[in-house]
Parts: sequence; C-alpha cells; structure tokens
Amino acid sequence: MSAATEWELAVHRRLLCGDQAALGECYDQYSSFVFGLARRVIGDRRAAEDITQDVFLHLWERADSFDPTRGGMRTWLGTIAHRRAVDFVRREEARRRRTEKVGAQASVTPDVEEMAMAIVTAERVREALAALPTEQREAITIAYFGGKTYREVAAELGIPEGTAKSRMRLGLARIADVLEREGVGQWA
Amino acid sequence: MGVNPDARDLLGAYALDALDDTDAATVETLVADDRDAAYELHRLRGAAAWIGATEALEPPRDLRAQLLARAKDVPTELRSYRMAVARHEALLDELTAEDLTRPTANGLSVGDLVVHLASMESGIAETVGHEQSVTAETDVDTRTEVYLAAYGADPMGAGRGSWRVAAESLDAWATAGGRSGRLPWAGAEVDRRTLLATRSFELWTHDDDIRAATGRERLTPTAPELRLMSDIAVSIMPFCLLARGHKVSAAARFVLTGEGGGEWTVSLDGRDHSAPTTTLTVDVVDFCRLVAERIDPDDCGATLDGDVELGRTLLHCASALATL
Repeated sequence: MSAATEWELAVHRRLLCGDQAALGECYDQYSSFVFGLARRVIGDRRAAEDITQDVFLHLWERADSFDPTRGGMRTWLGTIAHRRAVDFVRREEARRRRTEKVGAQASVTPDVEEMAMAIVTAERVREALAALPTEQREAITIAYFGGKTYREVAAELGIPEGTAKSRMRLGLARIADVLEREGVGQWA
Repeated sequence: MGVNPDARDLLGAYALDALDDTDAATVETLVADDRDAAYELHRLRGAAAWIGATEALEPPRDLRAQLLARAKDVPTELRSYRMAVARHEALLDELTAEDLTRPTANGLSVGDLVVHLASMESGIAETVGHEQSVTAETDVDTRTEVYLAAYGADPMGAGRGSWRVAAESLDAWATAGGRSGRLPWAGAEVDRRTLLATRSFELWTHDDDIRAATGRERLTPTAPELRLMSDIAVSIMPFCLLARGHKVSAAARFVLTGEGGGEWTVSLDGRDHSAPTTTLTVDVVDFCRLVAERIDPDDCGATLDGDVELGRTLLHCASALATL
C-alpha cells in the first residue's frame, strides 16, 4: 500500500537516476510549502531561504532516504524542513541566552506576503485547526510554529506537562481524522 | 526491554518536533518495536506536515536557480550504494525474531548473514580509514567467524550497528571524494566505482537471500544500479577464467538484455582481438545472479553464438570470484 502519488513515484525514480530536471519539478511542486513553513517557524526570510535550499539539496543527494512506501513526499519534506527550522530557532535561542542579550525574541509574525494556498486540502486543514478546542490548537501552534518543546509549551500556558502532550496528540489525531475523511491519507 | 508506559503519550509532541533528545529517543525506541505506535506516529506526522502546508509562501524567484546550481552530480556508484544501504535497512526493519533463525542459500542463518555483512562492510571500510574494531583478518570465512563470535548473539543490535557505522564510513569517504580502496580478500587495489559497486552487489545478493529465506519477494535493482553492477561483472570475466585455471586468447561479447543491460566486448587476455569469438546473450539480472553464484550456469537462459564451448566455459567460471 503506497501513500506516494504516481507523480511522486515517477519523480523519485528520476531523482535516483540523478535527473536534475526532476529536482526542479519537485522544487516547483513543494518549494512554497517548505519555504512558507520554514519562514513561519523562523521568522527570518534569509534563514528560511537557506533551509529551503538545504531541504531540496538533501532530497537531491539523499533521494534514497525517501521511501515512497512509507508516506508521501510532502510529509517527508515537511518533517525535514520543520526539524531544521526548529533546530535553527533553538540554536538561536541558545546563542541569545549565552550572549545574555536582552530583548524580545524575534517575533513570529504572520507574513504579509503569504500566498493563499490554492489547494483544497490546506484550506481543510485550516478549518480543522480552527475547529479544534482552543487549548489543543494553542498547544499545537505554539509547539509547531514556535519551535517549543512540550515542556516549554506547558510552562507558557501554565498547564501540567502531561496535559500539554495530551493536547498535542489529541489535536493532531483530530486533524488526521479530517484528512482521512477527505481522502488525503499521506500516512496510508 | 520494557518500554516507558508514558512513551505513547509523547507521540503528538514528537510529530511536532516538540521533544528534547532524551524524550525523542524514548519515542524512537517505542516505534522501533511497536507497529501500532509507529502507525500512529506516521499519521500524526502527516497531519503536522499539512499544518505546515497552511503557511505556504512563494520563495524568492532566484532561489530555484541557486538550488540547481548547488545540486552537483552525485556519482552513480554512490547513489547506487546509498540505495542498496537504504533497501538493506528497510529489509532489516521488517525482520522478526523468527526470520533471523531461517537458513539462507549460503548456509548461514538470516541472523548470521546480517553479521557476515558487518564483517564484509567493515573489511572494505577499514581500507579507506574506518577504525578497525574486531579483527584484521582478511579471509572471508575466517573474518565472518570472528564477527559471529563477537556479534552472533545480537545480530540486529550489535551486528547491525557494526554494519551501519562501516557503511556510514564508506559513504563519508566517497562523499569526500575518496578515489581508491582495497578488496582485502582479493588483495586488489580498486577505484571507488568498483569498490562501491561490489558492496551494492553483495548487499543486493544477500538481501535477496534473506527475502528468499523469509518468503519475501525478490527485488530487482534500478536500471542505473544494474548497469553499474553488470559493467563490473563483465569486466572481471578475464580474472574469473584465470581463477579457474583457464588461459584463453580471445575476446568475448556479452549482450545483457533488459533495463540496465548493454553490450560489452571484453578481451580475455588483455590483448587486442579483431573480433569476439563468442557471444553470450543473457538477461542482465540473471547474469548478475550468475556472477553472485545464485543461479546455475545451465539455468540462466543464456544464448551462445560463435565458439559455444568458450561461451559455456565463461558461464561456468562467472561466479569464480563470488565470496559467500
């Protein structure tokens, strides 16, 4: 049972053969997703550009590590992009603490240039996110877009750590349910 | 090994990259052994990725060109090796404790074969700078025995771990532009292409052994991998003849059919010959299996033209350099 689309399977085969045009096509398909995610987490355009390049270079150099039988390319790229963005935020935070520089952390403001996602799924996810109980949505968005650990989320919200991780798990499961009902089984 | 009862509660946070390293390791231990947890994590990660998709934003126009300029060619042999390594890892992930006890084509159990691969991978890697940890022995059978004594009781832990670090060493060496290494059991210095191709060849062969032993379907490598392996396999034919005591002054033509195949004319004594005296036509995958000693020469479906006797000799000598 494969979660990758026919297009992803075909483009992956071409990447494995070293076809650079296939990399360009993957970039065209997913760069706004990767860049938008990195920008949202980091809040810095230049760093988000670097991470976007790194993510697609990783796809190019290590196409073998993407297994189409285990999920779609969007999930795979998103996982890498998010992890790198979070690592960046945490490194910056550690550096800021080390230098004891006083001042507000780079705020993660919504980008005015943000493009409306044309695809229906992203809209459904937005709706699903909005429909979550507030406490679940808060926990997820602070962790995911803020690059915080669940312990930091718990501290920020003044709730027990166990509650924070439960909210994340339950909220994500609800979104997964919505996506499944929509027939977007990236995890099939 | 017991699993932290709270580990499952961490799955959502893990999918959001909201764990520190210690908690993340707890989740990774859980999902390695628990298929339900692994499935749940897979689902939650998919949901997290789609949350990211709600923030899509067009990158600057020149980023695409910058990316493509940085995307350098990765040598075919390195791509092939990485694919073989990734497939081996994926296969090992699927194996059950019962699978490990099953006998394979070469007489070793599946578990022992996993350890054998650690001995071979490390043997090659040590010729390009990988730290020797178990033995300096170069004879394949003896080296494997020493490795089995060290790791035979824990093939999927210590054995697999030893294989992995050796594979990572080889990859790092090749990525850094390493040019040549040695096949210790053959005492031969070879270029990077040949070195990595022999590893891809052996990983594929033993993975197929494991698949056959555990009732799984065999896999055919991709066309570029087959092309590389068949190129190496054809090029060693003169040495295969010599290894079996045949001195032949002639050239042979190999027509390997199917995706990844091709045509080669090989001098069997290093001298120039105006034309090949024999032509062997055979499916490329079967030819590779023949060289790996996984198909009997009489069963490989080869068609022989010209000097049929020489063609038959070549088929029967094709596996002369196969190890285990």
